[in-house]
Amino acid sequence: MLDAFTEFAQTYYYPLIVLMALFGLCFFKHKKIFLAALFLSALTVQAVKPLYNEPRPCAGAPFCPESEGFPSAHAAAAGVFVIASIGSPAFVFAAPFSVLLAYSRVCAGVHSVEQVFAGYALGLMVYGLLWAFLHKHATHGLVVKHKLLE
Amino acid sequence: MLEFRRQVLHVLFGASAIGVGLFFGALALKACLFACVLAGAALITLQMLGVRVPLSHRMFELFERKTAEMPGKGALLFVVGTFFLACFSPSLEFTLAVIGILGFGDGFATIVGVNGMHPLPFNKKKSWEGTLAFFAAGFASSAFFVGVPQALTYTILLGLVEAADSPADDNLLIPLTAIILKGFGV
Repeated sequence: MLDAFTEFAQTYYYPLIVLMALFGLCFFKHKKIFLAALFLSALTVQAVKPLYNEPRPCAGAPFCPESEGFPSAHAAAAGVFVIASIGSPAFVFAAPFSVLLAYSRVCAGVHSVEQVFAGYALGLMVYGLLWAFLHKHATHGLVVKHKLLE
Repeated sequence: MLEFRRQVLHVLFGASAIGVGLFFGALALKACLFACVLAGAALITLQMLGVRVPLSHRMFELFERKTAEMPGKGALLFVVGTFFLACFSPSLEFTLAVIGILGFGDGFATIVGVNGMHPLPFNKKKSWEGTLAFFAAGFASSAFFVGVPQALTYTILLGLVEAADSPADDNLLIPLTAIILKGFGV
């Protein structure tokens, strides 16, 4: 089953992100922050990868993606997913799913444990910064008008 | 008294993270922090859903501000910031130095600063006494790992971040700033 999930996560990354986004929209407390963080973490990962320029453990193998390995984009999405689920009953599903998603990248041989940890940490950081920023400015006109904390 | 308790916990967590890094290495530190994030998130969720886990409920009562947006917010963001730092840092020594600045510097800044009599000109919520405490404790703890010049540089730069009226949370901004500065070769 892990092999099937690993294969699915590898082949259908974008549909998986869409499914995670839909799940979050249904069940998470701060839907707008979650969506923004999911998007921003994906952008940030692509910006950071060339800076560290660390190869994947599978580099050179035919199945190996061409992009750099550090940090893991899948793990970043997993990090956003778990921290956004805090406070909702959906955490019961989101937490193990996020760990499984991150772990599947190591199982697939496309990331090292350190690369997955880094991706996860990046996702947590992006969401945390957005959340803290918006809460600090909770009474600001834009935040209230657009209900950004909902 | 609440702030004092909170900052003692802050300092103790920083010291524990440094201990794990020193005795078990970088990967063990990252794994511990990863586990702490998940465990903390689980306990916070249970608390928010009204499920009383005896020990953690007591911890929230003892250490959380009544005005907090979320129970355990400060602790969770501290762990997230430290985890991020550990993952993106170029070396274990740099990680431990910044954890020292974040744990000891930030912790003592608040312990001393809440009783400060001389507010900073650019941030009336913080005091010179707290800022100086940050510099002293942060420098003393980080110099062990990266040497005096780099410890001094980072303590001053991260101290400015801590003293400023930051747009987000210091527990996230200090590690992020440290990684960015390191990336620029500071």
